Amino acid sequence: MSATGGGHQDAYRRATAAPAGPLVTAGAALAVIGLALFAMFATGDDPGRAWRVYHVNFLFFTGLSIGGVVFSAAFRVSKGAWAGPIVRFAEAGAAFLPISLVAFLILFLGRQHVFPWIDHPTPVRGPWLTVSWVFWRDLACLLVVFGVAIAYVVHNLKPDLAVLRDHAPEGRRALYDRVAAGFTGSPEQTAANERRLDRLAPLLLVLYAYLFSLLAFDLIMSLAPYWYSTLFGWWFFMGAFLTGLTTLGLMMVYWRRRLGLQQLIGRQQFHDLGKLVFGLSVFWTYLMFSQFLVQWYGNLPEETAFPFYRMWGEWRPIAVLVGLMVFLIPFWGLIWVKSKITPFTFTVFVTVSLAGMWLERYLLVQPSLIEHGPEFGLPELGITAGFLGLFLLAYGWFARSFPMVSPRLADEAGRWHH
Amino acid sequence: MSAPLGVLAAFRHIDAAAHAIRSLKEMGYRDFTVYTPAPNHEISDAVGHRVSPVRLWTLIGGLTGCASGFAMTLWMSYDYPIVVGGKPLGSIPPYVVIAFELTILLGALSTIAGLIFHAWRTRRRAAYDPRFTDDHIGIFVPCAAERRSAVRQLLQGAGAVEVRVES
Repeated sequence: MSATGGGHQDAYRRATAAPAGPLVTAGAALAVIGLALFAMFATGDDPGRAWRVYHVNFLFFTGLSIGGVVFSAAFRVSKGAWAGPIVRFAEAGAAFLPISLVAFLILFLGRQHVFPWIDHPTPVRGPWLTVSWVFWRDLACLLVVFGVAIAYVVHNLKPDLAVLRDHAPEGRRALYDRVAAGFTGSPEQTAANERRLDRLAPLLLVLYAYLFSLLAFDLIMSLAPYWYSTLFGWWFFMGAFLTGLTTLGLMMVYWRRRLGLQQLIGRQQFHDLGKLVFGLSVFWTYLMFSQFLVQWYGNLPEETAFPFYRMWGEWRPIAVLVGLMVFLIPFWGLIWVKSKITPFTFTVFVTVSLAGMWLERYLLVQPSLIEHGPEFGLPELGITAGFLGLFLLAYGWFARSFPMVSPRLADEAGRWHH
Repeated sequence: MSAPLGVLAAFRHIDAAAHAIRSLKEMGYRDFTVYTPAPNHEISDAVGHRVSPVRLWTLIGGLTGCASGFAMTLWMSYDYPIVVGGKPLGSIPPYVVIAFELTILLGALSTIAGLIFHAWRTRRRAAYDPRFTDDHIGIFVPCAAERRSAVRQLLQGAGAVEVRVES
């Protein structure tokens, strides 16, 4: 299992010098435009509008980047092999996590515009919903989950950095040495590193499920403080996991050609990732329906207000779109083997699902905060573009700094299928 | 059921068996039978079967189940109307559960039916050895007497631990 094993050494070498220029350029441009627009709108006549869509995007992009790392951990825990060549494309999203943390701190500045219980306290929720308690505990949640996620990614990188160090471009070696922190690939070090990964991966999964449920309650459910759903946490973090998978799908298509990985990433990877996206779409629907059925049947106003307000009236078009884009279109699109293994159709359906999940997050947040129907315009477009830019920038930085394919994980996949 | 004439080989190693299968196909053999004690990607890739027709049975069964689930519940509600919990007679949300369960049930049953049907239709007489359900991979090549030595040589060369002529 060295860089020279498996017959893909050229691909591995190319993956240490990933051409991240387009990502970084596009990301920087979008980020600058988006941040400028956000600053303009947040200090303008209607700062609430800017902060609301900021909140939607904070939730969406945080979920999408942590979702990728969680996929890598789940893949390790389930002892999979097929995703070996692509798992780093998912882990690269970890570079956005520090930005997400800063975005959460900035959210504190706009708290009055996002959290209705600040201006209209909700005695029924007791001391649970107070500014300092909510922000401190959520900050702690994010720090813990992000910390474990980044530690996991770093430990997963170390063996690859040791193996690929001498094949990497000159300029990257200093960073490799710093991150590898003395890891040279000796058998004892490798065994210790594997043991640590075996502890970090399940830890990340449990913390993610537990703490992101709490974040869902605090950051989305509290926007409609009289409504409650015990299933809501699940729905939020499984949806975020789905966005992590669809982003991974797009990145797989993007890098496959650019890094010349057609030998490594083939029918198997498209098929399996397509099946996962299909399955998660169904699971998302299952969670939604299993909560909806109970609330519809019980017909208690404090429970039905939230879903019914979104299903009828001004928000109905968005709700229908979400149902189509997250469930029906990917379901009938990805049920066929052909459409999963053809990169073009795979890309189309994965993109539809990702965009649908953005609308879903929008639909969860916005109707709780405004009296009128959906609004789409320059603030929404600009701030979303800004977040997308920051994500691409962080992702591009990762691709520019670290190997985008892990020889040891890719070889593992190769052993099973050749 | 007496087996047809041919050559039966036992393999201990997956890659040897896969190699033998590929060589047989190169020589133009198509109607040989492969036994494996456990499902294996390498073997099935070497054999290279077309996609199983059973999945069509699953799809048709599932759609039938879904349709009949809604049809049954709606028909019953209107045929013997009882208002429950102030809901409309034909209330779709709870019927989704019935439709879903029938989708799974009919989908699964028709899958089993399809499996049995296609296994029966494509059944083949071939020599067999009990080791093929234990720790050996088997290949049976039906062939006429004059071709036996060539086939035998090929299988032995690929690494068979035992080659037997069935006659």
